[in-house]
Amino acid sequence: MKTAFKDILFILVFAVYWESISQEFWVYDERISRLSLFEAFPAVMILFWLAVFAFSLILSESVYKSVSKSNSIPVFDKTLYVFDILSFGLFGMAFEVILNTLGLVHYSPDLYWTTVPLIHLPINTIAGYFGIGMFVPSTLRTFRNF
Amino acid sequence: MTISEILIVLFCLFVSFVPPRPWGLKKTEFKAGIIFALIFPLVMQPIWSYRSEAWTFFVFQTPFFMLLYWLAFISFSINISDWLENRITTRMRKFNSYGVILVTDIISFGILGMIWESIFYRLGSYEYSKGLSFGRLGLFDIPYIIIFGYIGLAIFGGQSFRLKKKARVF
Repeated sequence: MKTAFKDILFILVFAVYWESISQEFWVYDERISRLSLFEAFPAVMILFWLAVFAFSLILSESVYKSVSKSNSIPVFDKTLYVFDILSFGLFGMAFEVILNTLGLVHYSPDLYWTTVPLIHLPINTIAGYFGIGMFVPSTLRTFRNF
Repeated sequence: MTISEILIVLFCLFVSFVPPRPWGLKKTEFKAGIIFALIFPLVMQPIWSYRSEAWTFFVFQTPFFMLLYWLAFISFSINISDWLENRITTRMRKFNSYGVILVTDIISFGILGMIWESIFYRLGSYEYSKGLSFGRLGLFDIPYIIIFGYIGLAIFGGQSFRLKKKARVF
């Protein structure tokens, strides 16, 4: 319970931080931006990040536990590191595709995006989700022990 | 070589020797930072662009020397932060090590990042994309997003770099 609370707190901090500094990168549809936090980003994006983190961490940690036949999750492990990268990359992309397909987010036309065909996501966004998987989960697990 | 590249080479040389440490440890620092150095410019491509006249050659649209910059920057920031944390917790044992290191990460990444970013910007090495309307910090003449970017790197990435360095992974 305490771990879950710490995880949620960490994710909230990350979500508010990231959405605040990336305001100029994209425009959210008015369907979701009616209720906004700090007049900066839609409140629903907090749920978005909670979902991305929840699904990604549950998958990577579950797979790690079954592969390593261990019940505990270390702060850092090479195998867990690989699972984190893959799960954050995949779930991040999946949720982003959903947002994009529903027309809830539009990437700023003033910036130079390179889009991947078929999924219509900028390559930068895809790299970003895999990048999050490389760095943020191990920091989150460090925070669990705080 | 351009001025930016010369400065980066000097920075890399400095970081190679300060603090003194074995080659094996430097290699682990290199490994811990290399993926970030490759991915981060790709992620941020829409946000800024590098002026072709300021750099000699590019790798995947990123100046080669900027990759070296990120390796040196991460290594030096972590080492400075570790030194600060050691000094603080040795003298004031009551402070929690994690809390202290979070603060020292923010200080070292933030200050070092702002200084270098300002230097590169004033040298005309890059420009921020049109349409970005961030406020600027007057003294350094860089957008607030950059400052908060370095602080975010410290908060969400600092510990991760340490763990990767310890585990000797990319």
